[in-house]
Amino acid sequence: MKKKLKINIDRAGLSSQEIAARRNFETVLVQARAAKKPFYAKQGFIGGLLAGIILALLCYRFYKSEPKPVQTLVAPVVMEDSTANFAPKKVVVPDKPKELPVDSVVNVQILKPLKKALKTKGFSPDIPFTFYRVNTNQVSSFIHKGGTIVELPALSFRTVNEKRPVSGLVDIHYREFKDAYDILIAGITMKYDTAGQKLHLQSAGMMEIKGFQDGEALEVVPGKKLKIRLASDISSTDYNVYKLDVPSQQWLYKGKDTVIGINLQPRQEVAMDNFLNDASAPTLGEEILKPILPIKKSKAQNFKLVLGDKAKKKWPYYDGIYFELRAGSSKIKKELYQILWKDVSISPTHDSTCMKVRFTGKIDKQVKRTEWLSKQKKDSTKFKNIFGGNSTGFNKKYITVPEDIVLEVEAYPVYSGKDSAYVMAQYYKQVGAYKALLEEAARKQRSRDSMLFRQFAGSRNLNEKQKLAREQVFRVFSISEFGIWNCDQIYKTKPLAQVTVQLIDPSGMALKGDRLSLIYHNVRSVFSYYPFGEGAYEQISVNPSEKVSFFVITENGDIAYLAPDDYAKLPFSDQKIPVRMNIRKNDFTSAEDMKAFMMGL
Amino acid sequence: MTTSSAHHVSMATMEQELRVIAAAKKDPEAFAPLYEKYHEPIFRYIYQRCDDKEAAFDLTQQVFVKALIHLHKYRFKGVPFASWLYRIAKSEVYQAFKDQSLTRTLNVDLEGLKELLQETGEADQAFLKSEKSLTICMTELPEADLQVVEMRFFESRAFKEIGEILDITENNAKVKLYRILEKLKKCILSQK
Repeated sequence: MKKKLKINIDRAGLSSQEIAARRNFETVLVQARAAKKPFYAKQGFIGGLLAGIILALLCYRFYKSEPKPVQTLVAPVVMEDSTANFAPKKVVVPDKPKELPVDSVVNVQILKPLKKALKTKGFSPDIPFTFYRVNTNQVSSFIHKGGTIVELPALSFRTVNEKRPVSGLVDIHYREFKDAYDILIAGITMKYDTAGQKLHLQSAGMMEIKGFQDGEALEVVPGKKLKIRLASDISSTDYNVYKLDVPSQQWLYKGKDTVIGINLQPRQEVAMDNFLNDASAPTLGEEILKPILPIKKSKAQNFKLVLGDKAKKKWPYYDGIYFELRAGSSKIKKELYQILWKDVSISPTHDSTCMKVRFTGKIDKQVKRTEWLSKQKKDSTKFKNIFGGNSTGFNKKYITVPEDIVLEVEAYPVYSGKDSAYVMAQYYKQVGAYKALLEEAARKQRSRDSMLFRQFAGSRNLNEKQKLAREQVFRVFSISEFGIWNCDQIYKTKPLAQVTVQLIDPSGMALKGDRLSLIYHNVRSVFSYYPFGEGAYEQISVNPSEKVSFFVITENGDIAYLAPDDYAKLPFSDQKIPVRMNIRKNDFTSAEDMKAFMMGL
Repeated sequence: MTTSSAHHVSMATMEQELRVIAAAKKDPEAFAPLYEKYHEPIFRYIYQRCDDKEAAFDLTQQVFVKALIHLHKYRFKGVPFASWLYRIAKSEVYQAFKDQSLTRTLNVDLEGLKELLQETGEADQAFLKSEKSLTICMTELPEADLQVVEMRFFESRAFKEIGEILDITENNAKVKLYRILEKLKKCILSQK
């Protein structure tokens, strides 16, 4: 078996200045001091341990006798190492918000969509951030209230303006939007334009994260990723991850999240699913097809895969299997057996009777020198590589150049030279061992998730712990940028009525506001519609049988609303319908007050 | 074969380094001059073996962190302090390969490759073909052998230094290389 080895020829070097720019003895000192002595070798460890045990016993007795109120700060957690970072993980405890930059400064970007409304007097509540101060010299993680776990790799930030890598203490500002009211209050759009279609997203969890150092905005260093385990009560796997592009107010598709059950009886299949995302873990990849049997001496062309380490993990059950070309499949030329293929994919054919094996790689091809030259720019590096660094090659009529090649064949996986009983026993043994490996890894993953959850839940009162254990899942994804991230799916419309509404205030005057927001009480989304005339709003889609509230932030910054009971009485028709809105003065002192009012309608 | 002269460390320099190390054992901040001196060579050693610049910087930092942590265990054995650092670097890099957080990469330059082909007696005609065979053959080499070839031909290290890094004698390094070249030669011939 060949080892995995990549060969670069004449890779561009790094200058001494570039290397010197990354020297930072201070960081080395900090890390060395932090890890200098094992904890048990430190002075006073035994004494401290005894004191700790006594304290723990006292706390336990106290805890048993009187339930504690819900804590808002996180419990310290040491994460199991799940990344390839080298520094030890560090527990992070959020600092007091008063020591950090002022809230309103932070919120300027978030509230951009409501700029018009915000400039009006009186409207100010917004979903508050929680502040975490982390030492970015080391890998860190924090647990947000609600259970979300954020993992930050070491040295993963740099300044937005100068692109200067930062070390030391960094302030992370984090908040979540738990429901449609949070989304509405924060002024976040849920419209999603794709291929000219205007759709609405509904969320299974949304959060915003930002980083600052000494008040200076930071961004994530390219190549680094923050791992988010977003606590959610929606376990469906039909959601995607989107990021909000604030200037354009567009949600950008970023991929798919993975759902992990974190209750005490986790869903096995979703835990497995997460495990498959782990780059170091073997993946099921394609469907496992049984080899056919028995093997007869066949004149059909056959080949054997020499699997690299990574491929072997993915397809252990193909190790030792020959592939026999299906009648009618394209043949493999002799020279193609000499190629070290870069990638191979195996999938069942459309009729599932055999397998499609697709190879991609490069092959050396003889081409006319003049033809090749006419296609290439006169690049000295290319000449050097093609002609071996000397000028004699210029005289050749033909030269050898590497070209991309794709080979696709249809083949049966077969065992060769063994009796059928032995073949099938081997096959089941290999598949069994592989599945056992997957299950073991899934078990470890579940155990880790449960541990994290228990540590989190341990700081909360029993009712909340039980509630979380019953309902909560993690939606797991990695992000490489700060901003607003959302696990969303397109809201699938039920039979709807299309109506045009004319909003009026209690006195019968046309109501002006920047947008009309609809909240369906059973959907985690805000459906926004924009005005096209005096108090008239574009055609809106509604479901008359649903429980729906209307909200408009008026020019004065007050809240115009229509309660679900009033909505139910609306005369839905093809005509423009007048909707008389109630007005609530915006004297809310916090987002929570405003939310309580909206939810109470 | 030209080799780097950077490794030739005089006794006076070694003594000076020992004084710094003695001071650093008491106060880690005194280690700064050695960090400044060896940061680049250690980084280049690591980056030579991988393809990820950021990971190479991270690993370099980790090497010095480990060096500081274990400095109290360091004993002078008549070889430059750099050899000790290289051994830590080697251990860190191979741990990263083992964890699969890094892909083992062989960074070769055409000059080194030509020299290697000359040593195997395959440099003359059809350089391109030989080069391809050679790269295929190198993937067949055990890791220990590959390290020797890499240090000798693509990092231009003296046998003495190779011996110190691998904790073998200079003569042993020479013999090893000779045997590896024989192996490569056979492999190239079989590729033709």
